[in-house]
Order: sequence, then structure tokens, then C-alpha cells
Amino acid sequence: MTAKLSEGAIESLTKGTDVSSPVLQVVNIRKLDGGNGLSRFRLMMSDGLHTMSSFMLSTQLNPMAEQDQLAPNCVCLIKRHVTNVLKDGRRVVVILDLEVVKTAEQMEGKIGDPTPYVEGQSKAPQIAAPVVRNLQPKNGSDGSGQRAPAQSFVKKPMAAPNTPGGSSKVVPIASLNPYQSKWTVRVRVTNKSSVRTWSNSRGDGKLFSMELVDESGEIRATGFNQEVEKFYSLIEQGKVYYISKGTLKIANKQFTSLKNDYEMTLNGETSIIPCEDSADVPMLQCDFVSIADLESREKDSIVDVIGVCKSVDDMTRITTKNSREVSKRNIQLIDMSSRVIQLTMWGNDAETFDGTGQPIMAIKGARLSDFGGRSLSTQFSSTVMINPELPEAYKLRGWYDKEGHAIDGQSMTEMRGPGGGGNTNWKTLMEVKNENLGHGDKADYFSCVGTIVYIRKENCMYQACPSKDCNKKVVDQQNGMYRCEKCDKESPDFKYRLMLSANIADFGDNQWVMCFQDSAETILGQNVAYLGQLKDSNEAAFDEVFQHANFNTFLFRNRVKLETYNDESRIKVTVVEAKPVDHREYSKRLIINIRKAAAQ
Amino acid sequence: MSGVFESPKARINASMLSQYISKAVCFLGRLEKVHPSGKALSLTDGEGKTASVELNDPLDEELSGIVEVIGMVSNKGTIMASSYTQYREDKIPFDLELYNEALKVLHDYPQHYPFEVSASG
Repeated sequence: MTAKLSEGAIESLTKGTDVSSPVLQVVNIRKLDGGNGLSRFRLMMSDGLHTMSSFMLSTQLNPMAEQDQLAPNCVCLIKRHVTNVLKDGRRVVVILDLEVVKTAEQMEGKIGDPTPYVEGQSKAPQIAAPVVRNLQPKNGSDGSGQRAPAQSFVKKPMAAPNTPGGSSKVVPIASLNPYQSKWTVRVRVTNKSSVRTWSNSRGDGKLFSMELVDESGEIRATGFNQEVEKFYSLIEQGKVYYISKGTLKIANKQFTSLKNDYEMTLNGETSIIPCEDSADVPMLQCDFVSIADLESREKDSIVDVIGVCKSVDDMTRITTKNSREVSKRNIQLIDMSSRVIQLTMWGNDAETFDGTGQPIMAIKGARLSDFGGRSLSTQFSSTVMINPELPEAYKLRGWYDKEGHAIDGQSMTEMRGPGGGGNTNWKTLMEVKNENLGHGDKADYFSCVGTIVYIRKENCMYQACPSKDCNKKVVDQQNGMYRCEKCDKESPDFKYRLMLSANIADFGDNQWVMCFQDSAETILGQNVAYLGQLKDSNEAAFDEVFQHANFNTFLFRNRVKLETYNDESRIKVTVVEAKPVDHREYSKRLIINIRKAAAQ
Repeated sequence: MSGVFESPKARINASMLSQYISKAVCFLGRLEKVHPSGKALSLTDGEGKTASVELNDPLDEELSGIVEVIGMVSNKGTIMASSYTQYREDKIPFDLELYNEALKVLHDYPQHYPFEVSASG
């Protein structure tokens, strides 16, 4: 059996001439083990006259080689390929799509007597042939020092930076890989992050990332420091750009949900040029999931959701584990499944969000969590679109205005009813002790309904630095001035801060807890400034505040941790939040608990 | 009738009335209508079922919203009220359905809510 090979194809490929769909025979396959467990296959192929060993199989075709569909002697039709020129002028042909025309078994060996194509004129082809696909040039920092001067000549005609679309070809995102150094993609920026800064032992810096889409796929690109300065303000979300050169590396899937094994890092050689004629580049691809279906999705999966912003909570600021302060805002989304889910937005999105007029919100790449049942959270890589121009959005708007607004949708997220938000870990005080909460490495949090049985009046307030964000205790200089060590400042006044030690009880046990400012004010029912005044002027009234506070019941959210002072370990419970009991919510929860307990 | 205040009073809803004939009960419902005579009320419970309440004396005040009645259940299944009181709802609306759920808990686990045992026993 024989097959007709595309004689001369190797020569053309080596010279850089475009060859469409050549039929070639596999001579040899070699597996290259890349880092990160990702291997690639390198092929030697023959056209019957010549052989060439610099064929690479794109990774999505790896299974063909792994399952021996591609084996020496088989004949393939190369349906799609890209030629890349390495820095030293060698060419690598990346095979994007191929079809095995004749399997190795059907062949009786090598066709003809091909010899390695000798590039005697190896520097010549670059002059001879227009460069295939990959040479979208960029202006300025060409960095072509080690390249043959002839090459620059060829590039000249299409090098005009103001016609980036020009005659040069652009490669699809799907063909990008770390083995090519020069390429241009034509992509739409579907998401541009804000600039993030970091600071660690190795110094500090900043970065931003963006998501790029074309008809072949998507990829994430990240720029650091200088590239942030250079490109950040230039890039507009939704616009189309030519992007040339950049470092490709294996994607860290931890930080991205994009379907690409690689990600791009912008470097000093990267150029980004706006593209005016952009209609054919696809818009953001969203695969919207109905809110009702989120229940069956796995925790931590990344989903696209569209919904009407039914209600908006106030923005709050919280301090993260690594003591960074961030803004967050919860909103409730409803969609045509009549189900509601809570979306938490962070940082800038949370600060600038305006929920007036109940806008349609589309979120690409939100993280689904099992926080309070089911809830959504935006991430650094999420795209939040308000009133996007999408057919789904118009449909949803129509539905909401007509009927949706009247629906009191059932929420997937347990509302911050009694729990004061957060993941409510309800415990009785007895359970807290029996289960040794706080004995682990990390602090535990729990919520409980408790009644104040005693408040220690002594040392419940201290004199703190009057600076806005400083609550450090000041030292009385005994000369009318108060000194803050932290701010290194003296001032003639101070502010009182509360630090209240209280004993709370429920039916089973009692517990000493520490309450700071906000929760202490809630418990005492007075603000600290007034209390400070009373303390200094009216001892009787001050005492009365504490008397009145006894035997009131609150809903507490507490942090519990075993702490050791002078070799003595004791459980320390700090009130994170105290608020009045919502008896309706509380009763509901009790009834559910009773029913659950009875069913066991 | 004087026994009503001394004896334990089971909290019930309208569908339990028939099991409490000639017993003292406490019934809570939303006032639906007052008979023109002023001597009878109808109250709807958390399940939407109605109970009739008969008063000894005509009402001498405006009554509306959630009303709690204490009285004896007659053979006809009406409540012969000994006293009534109106719940204030100016701050938080009363959740009658939730009350009904709690009431069912009381009746489902009498071993844990022994107050009515002597009444029904």
C-alpha cells in the first residue's frame, strides 16, 4: 500500500512558505518531558524527498501519540499548523490538527528514500519567502540584535506600527506555546483586573492581569511593574488588541479558570496595539448557570451567573487573616428560576457598586462556595458586568419587570438572620466546652444566644490615642498631655475605648467573654463617649448603666482560642459581634433543631 | 368556669379543638370578625382555620389583630372565653404560622412539655 505524500512540502516549510494541508509520513516520534508533568511530542516527518525533525505536536493532540495512533510510518494529513521561527532562525512547525490517513500497520515502511533537508541556504529562505504568520512586528524595542539583518529587511514592509492589522498573519491563542518566541495574537480583553501590589521579603511590586479571547480560545496575561506602568492605562476592557511577544509558561490553575494550559506574562519586548476592526473577535463567552442549578454544583467551582440585583447590603470593611483590610459588599441576585443567591463582592467592586434601579449583573468566573448554604463570591479574576448588552440580560430584565419583582424568591444562601452574617456555627456554651473549641491551632468561631449575668465595671475603659485609626493606649504624662507610643505623638486629649469583661450564660453553662468597642456599646446600650463622661462626672449613673445591662439577652458571635500566659493555658473568648435576638429567626432555628433532633 | 384560671391550659389550634372539649385551653388567632352582638368573635389560626369564640359580656373596646383567648371548649367546639388579650404588633408583626409550628412541637413531644399532661390526662 502506498500513499501520496506532498513532495516538496518539507522544503517549503523549511523555507517558510505557507503549505496548506500537506500529507506527510511520520519517521520518528520522540517524547519530551517538560516540567510540570506536561510532556510534548516531537516528530520527524518526511515528504518522500526530505525529512525534517522539528515538528512539535500541540498538546491537545498528545493522546494520539500516547495511544499509538501516531506511530512511525503512519501517514498524516496536517490540517492546521503554525510555523515558528526560533531566535537562531530555525523553524519549528507546530501541528495543531492532523488526521491519520494511513496507520502504521497499513504502511510497509518508509516511502521513498528521504534525506534530511540540508539548509545549505539556511539564511537565505528568510529573504526568499514572506514569513509565515508569526511575524507581526512591533515598533520600538525590537531587540533583534542576534537576528540576521536580512530578516529585518523582509519585515520592513509590514513593520509599520500604525497598520498592525496589515498583511501580516496573526496566530490563534490556541497555538501559543512556550517554544515560540515571536507571535502576534488578535484578542479581545474580556477582563482587566485592578492593579494589585505585593510586598514581601524579596521586595515589593505590582501586577495586573487580563483575560484575552479569540475564536480559538482564551488565555490569561499578567503584567508586572514596568508593564503595569506601560500598558495598564492603555488597555480597555472589551476592546480588541494585537499583542506581540510575551513569555508563555504553564498556567497556574490555582489562579485562573481559563481553559488554557499556558498563561502569558508581558515582558519588555511585548507590544500591544489597539485593533480598530474588531467585530469578528468574539465577545466575552459566558456560560450562564441558572441560580437554581447552583445547588448541584461542586463547592469552589467557578461559574458564570446572570441575575437581577434584588437588594444591596451596605459595604463593610473586614480584616483578613493576614491583617489586610478589605471592603466587601453583599448583594442578592435573583434569576428566572425564582431563586435568590447572595453574591459577595470585594475591594473596588464592592466600593464602587451602585445597586440603584436593580441592575442586571452578569458575573463571569464567580466562585461558588458553601458559605451559608450556597453563595457566590467574586475573585480577582472575575468579571462583573452591570447591565451588560447581552440577550440574556434583556430577557431577564423583561421577566423581572413583568413578574420577577413580585416574587419573593427562596434564597440559596442562609440569610444573615440571627448569625450576624458569616458562617454561623451555632453552639450552646456547654457544647463549646465539651467540644474543646479553640484548642486547635486556629481560633474557632461560634454563635450563641446568651444572657448577660455579670459585667465587670473595673477597668472597662481605657484612654486611647485620639488618632483616627489608632486605638493604642496612651500614657498619661501627668502634665495634661497624653502620649501614644505607636504614633509617637503627644496630644492634650484622648478617647475612651471599651474593653469589657462580661459573663454570659445560657441554659447549660456560663462563660467569661471579652467585648470591645462595638459589641460593648451594644451590650451596655450606651456609646463610649457618653460612658466616659458619666464615669468622670456621675458615678451613680455610670453604675446604673451596668445594672441595667444585666440579664439582657443577645446574640453573640465569638472567637475562642486557647491562650497561654506564664505557662498557664486558658480559654479566651472574644465577642466579635453582639446584637439583639431576632426572636422570629431564633424560634425558627429552634423548631428546625427540635425536628432534626427528633428525627435522629 | 372558675376552674379555667386555676387549671393548666393547653395551647391549641383550631383543628385540635375537638380533642379538648370541656377542657381549658389557650387559643391564639387573628381576629376575622366580631358578631354584631359583640358577644362572639371568629379567630383564624396559623393554618388558616377558624375558631368561634363566645364572650360572656359584649365587647366594650375596639379589637383587632392577634388575640389570645383563654376559655373552656364547649360541646359544639366553640371556645367559651373567660378572658382575652390583644397582642401588640406595633414593632414586629406576629408570625402566626411560626406560632403554629411551635404549637405543633409542643403537642408532638408532650414528654418534654409536661404542662398539659394533667389537663389532657
